[in-house]
Amino acid sequence: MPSATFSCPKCQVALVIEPGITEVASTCPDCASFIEAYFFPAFFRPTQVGLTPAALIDHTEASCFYHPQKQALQVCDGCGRLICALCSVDLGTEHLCPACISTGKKKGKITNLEDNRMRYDSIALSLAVFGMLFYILAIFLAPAAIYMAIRHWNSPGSLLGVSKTRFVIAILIAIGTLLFWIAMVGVLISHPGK
Amino acid sequence: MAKVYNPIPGIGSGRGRLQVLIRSRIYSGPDHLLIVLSTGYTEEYKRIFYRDIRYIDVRKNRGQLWQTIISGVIFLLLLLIFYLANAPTLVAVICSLPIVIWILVNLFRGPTCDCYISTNVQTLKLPVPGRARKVTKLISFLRTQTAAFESAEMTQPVA
Repeated sequence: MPSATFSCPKCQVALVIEPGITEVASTCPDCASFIEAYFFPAFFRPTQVGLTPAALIDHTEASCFYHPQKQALQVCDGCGRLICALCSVDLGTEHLCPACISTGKKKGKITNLEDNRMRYDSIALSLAVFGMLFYILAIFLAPAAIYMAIRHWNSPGSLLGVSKTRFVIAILIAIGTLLFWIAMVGVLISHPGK
Repeated sequence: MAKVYNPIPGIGSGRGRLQVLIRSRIYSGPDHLLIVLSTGYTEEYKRIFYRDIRYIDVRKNRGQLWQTIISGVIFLLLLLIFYLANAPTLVAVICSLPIVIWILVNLFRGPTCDCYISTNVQTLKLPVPGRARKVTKLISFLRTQTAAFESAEMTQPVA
């Protein structure tokens, strides 16, 4: 295993770290600032160079689905097609072809490619609560909260766990607010001037 | 259905630091760490795969010192106000007790630090943990995870 270099966070001077060293807690020889770093196996692993797909030698060899003249190296974990080194994309522990990556991202099927999500449950709950607090706006906000909750009931929620509790609370608050609003309007109409 | 992301044992997900309406938290996934930046209505995710982690750089900062100094100054000011106002001792004790508890908790939690995690393509400042003691737990957790992935790769049959 070759040694690797670590740059001092302050002065950027390169420090050689011998293989097997798992942590460093000492001062930088150049700027004398204290360095505390913990090394993991990937630190000593040489940087992987991108593989070049090998050309087919004879027609008995399996060829890439996308590049028929290139040797197949792997099977796509998404569609099962044979793919060459150029087409294979490592995603966590999976090997996927570009088409599966593209469709997976478009349809939101590959969770590891998602870098943001909207919290519709929080939006619905906020609308309902604002409707309750600013009563004059409830006629707009409460129906909006109900619409948001029903429209996005099955939309993907947070990656950290999906719960419908906020939707349910939002709907209950919005319905309660609307009923109260209707009752107040009813009272005002039936007893004008009081 | 089992949860995919869980708080890291020993340090939790952390409440993270609130930076202009963005709260950041950290979770452990099946093969990666998940950093969540949340505004309340949107969530942004950053993933760091265990097998890609090269090093963790811990930089101690003066957060604990400043927190203690500021709390101490507030505590002394409170005492001065109560002394000048001739307030009853019981009222002074009750009002200043939370600050004393805060100072003690702050001292007990240990020194604060910034924690940077590096892979081949990025170096990222971790939102949590902000305390050196918890960083040690995070590192031992990551060592276990990376070792598991290393051994899995070593035992993988050659295609």
